[in-house]
Amino acid sequence: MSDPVRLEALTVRYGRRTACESVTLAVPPGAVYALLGRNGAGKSSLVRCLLGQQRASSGRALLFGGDAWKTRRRAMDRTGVVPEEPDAPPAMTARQLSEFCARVYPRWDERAVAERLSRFAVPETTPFGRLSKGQKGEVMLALALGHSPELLVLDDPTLGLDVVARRALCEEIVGELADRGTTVFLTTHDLAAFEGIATRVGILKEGRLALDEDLEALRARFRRIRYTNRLTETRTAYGTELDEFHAMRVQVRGWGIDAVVSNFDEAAFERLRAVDGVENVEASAMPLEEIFLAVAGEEKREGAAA
Amino acid sequence: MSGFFAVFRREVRIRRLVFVAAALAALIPFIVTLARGVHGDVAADERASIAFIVAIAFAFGMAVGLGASMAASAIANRQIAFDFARPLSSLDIAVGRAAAAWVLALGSAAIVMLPTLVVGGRLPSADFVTDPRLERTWPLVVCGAVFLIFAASHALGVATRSRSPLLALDAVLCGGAGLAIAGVLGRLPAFLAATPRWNVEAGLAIAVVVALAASGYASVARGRTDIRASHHVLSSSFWGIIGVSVAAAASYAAWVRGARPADLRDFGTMPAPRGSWVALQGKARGATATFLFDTATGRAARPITIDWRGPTISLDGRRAAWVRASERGGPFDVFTLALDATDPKPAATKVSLPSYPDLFVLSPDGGRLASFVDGVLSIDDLGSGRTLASARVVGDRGLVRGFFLDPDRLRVYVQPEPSGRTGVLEISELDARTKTLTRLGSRELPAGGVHLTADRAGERLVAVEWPTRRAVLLDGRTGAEIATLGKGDVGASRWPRFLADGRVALSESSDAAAVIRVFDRGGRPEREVPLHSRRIVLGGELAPGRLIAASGDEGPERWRTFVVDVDGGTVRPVGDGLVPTALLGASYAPNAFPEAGSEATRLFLREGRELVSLDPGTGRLRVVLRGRASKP
Repeated sequence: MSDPVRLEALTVRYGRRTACESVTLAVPPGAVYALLGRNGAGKSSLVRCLLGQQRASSGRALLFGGDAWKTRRRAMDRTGVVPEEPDAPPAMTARQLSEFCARVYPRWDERAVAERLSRFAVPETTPFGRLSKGQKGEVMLALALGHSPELLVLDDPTLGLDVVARRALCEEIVGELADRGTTVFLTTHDLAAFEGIATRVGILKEGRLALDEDLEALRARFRRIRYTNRLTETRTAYGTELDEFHAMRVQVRGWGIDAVVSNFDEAAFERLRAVDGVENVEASAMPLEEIFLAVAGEEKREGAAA
Repeated sequence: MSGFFAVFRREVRIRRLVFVAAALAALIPFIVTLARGVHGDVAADERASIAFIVAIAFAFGMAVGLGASMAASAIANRQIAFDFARPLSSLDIAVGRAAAAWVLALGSAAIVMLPTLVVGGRLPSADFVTDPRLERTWPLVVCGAVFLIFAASHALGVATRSRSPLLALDAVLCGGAGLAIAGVLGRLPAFLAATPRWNVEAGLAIAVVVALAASGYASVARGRTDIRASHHVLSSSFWGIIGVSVAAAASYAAWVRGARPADLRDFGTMPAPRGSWVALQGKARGATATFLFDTATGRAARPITIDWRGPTISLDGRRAAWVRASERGGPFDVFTLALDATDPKPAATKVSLPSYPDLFVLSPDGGRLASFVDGVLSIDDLGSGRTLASARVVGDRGLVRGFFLDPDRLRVYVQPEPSGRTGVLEISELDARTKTLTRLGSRELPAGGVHLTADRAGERLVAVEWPTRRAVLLDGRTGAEIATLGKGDVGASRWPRFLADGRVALSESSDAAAVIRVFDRGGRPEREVPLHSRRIVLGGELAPGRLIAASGDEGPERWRTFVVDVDGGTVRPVGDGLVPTALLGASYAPNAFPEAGSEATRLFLREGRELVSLDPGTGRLRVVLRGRASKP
């Protein structure tokens, strides 16, 4: 069985500007893949290519093993999409949109859509253009799930939503996952909202895929390490003791050294404890948001000794 | 198809208020006529006209608006992604939207017209559709126009919304295509190639429609949610199709203009008075074509001229001249061809004429040109371009004919336009040395005017009067009558020819019989040669005293040709289906018939598509030029 989503050296350019370059990743069936990246990192361009809505400059985007550009229509039969900007015709009500989809999809569960909209408390007879931002997102999610897709693609679905709408949306996705094991590919800024759902994470940095890993493994190798080193003369510099941890971000504080490392393991940590002069060593797990900041943000190393 | 209908239905449903607006607009004709206080048939006519205008405005306005917004703006703001995120084909999305726009525009126009139609009972377009070809088809034309406007508006919408530098390239290509099309059409002027020009215009119009439709579809199908990509695809496909079409049109135009004498069908001939050149006029590759063709060598040149103004060939057969036709109107340049050159090429002279001339003859040596344009008679030197003499001719000048007596003196015969009343034939001479126009004489004319044939020196004229068919021999200078050559039997055809020795031959033929009468220089009867045929015309002299005569009594396709020995009185058949080319020799000037024994006297047109030459010794025919069979 082919992966629902596969990108092979995907590159998107707009004139001289490169939105994403040579991105390669795969999402196996049942996985929840969260693609993270700062604004302008190329997430939306990548999603449009994945959905066959835009042609890649080079490389390929595959949906269910087929070229997304060429086999878009068939792939959309098995895919639900929640776009970054709700794009349904503004003059149509949620019910009319559901009726339209019923004519387009071979299997469409109007009752399930109506129930979902009712659960979201979205008025069925109000034109889409007059709904709130949150309600629009909920309608788009209801429409995306109406044909029980094998793959759900969400492009920053919580953008601009309030806390309540965000939670409702996440709960719906969790419910969908629990019911059918739908594969999910999402891009988001909202790391906290999807941290509990995602099984794999990718981080786009300046158009390149800086990281692509299972979330658990990611969490296991990223740590925040804090310690003091009494042998360091001025306490404003550090030596080579962090080298084997692949420190991504090191800050020298008044009290000591604060580092984010991407290659943590217990044995190395024990060796660090044993380094002469190193004291008060502690390592703490990092939330996804901090990992993202460490990977996607500026690399920062202060006070490295020559 | 379900996807197409879903999109189509959705788009119509979203914009259904347009039909309400159309229903309100349908009241406009009634409100206007009520306000103006007109009643009865006048009110019905007025309502019909207003309803038609409002309906067309509605349809075209909707086409513009929907073309710019329905897909172009949806691509630009990526709302079309909603459709591309569904299992809908690009065809469903693009054609569903286009069909909805088409139905909305035409449906609203129909709603506007409906009440007026129901009340008035007649099609409101009657006052506007004046072209008989559109009487029944105008609704189809409107439907097509709505689609065309929609497609053009979509293309403009995509191009402008993309804000791409490609727009500048579009503008350049648009200008380039316009110039290229103008260039192609310029090579096919209406006076020369009306049918090919129409073919090109129709072909390019179809190409534009196809290009707009195809590129519009491609902009949606290949551009999808990327407006710049959409514009790129639209431009490349549109200009690709237009480019190929313009190239095809240019090739077609070049093919039409590249016709050779062998491509002629249904052609006529005017042989040179001397030498082996002949002017051919007919249809070649769909266009009117004129060629100067050397029957001896097969060399040819193609003058670009209108068929009634050239080319003319000098009496010595060494130079041809014609007025180069132009669609832009005058002044018209005069071109010449040196027929005695090794490699003759058309050459522009410094002479140009303000409009097409009524008289256009060369001096015997071809060095000077006489023309009559807008009432002014002129003699121009073709070498220097100088006007040597000119004079205004006053009075009624319906038909001006003339010829050079020598390089300095031009004899002209001016008769009024046949009007059913008698008139006067004025005879004058323009002298290039004294630069004066001298009136020499005049003669009363019958109501139908006269057809003039002169001897080479211009001393004598044979005038065949219309409608009496009376033939008289006149003094060429004064118009004084010398002798009556034939009269009576108004149904008879009389055809004169001056023979090489100065005698006059006159064919007389009717449905009953035919005879060739020979007169001496003074017009006294010498001999009669009866012919067992009807409707005889005279060709050239194959040799002094041996005259070609042809009979078309069974229709032009069954011509029978004879050699008549006017002295011996014998008649020898040459063949059937042969038309002597020398028949038309006098069209250049009244004295410009082919010289006895010249090549022109031996040339015949066979079946309207072959030029053949008769060997007088053996009586054999040689094909000089094989044209194409005429189209049924």
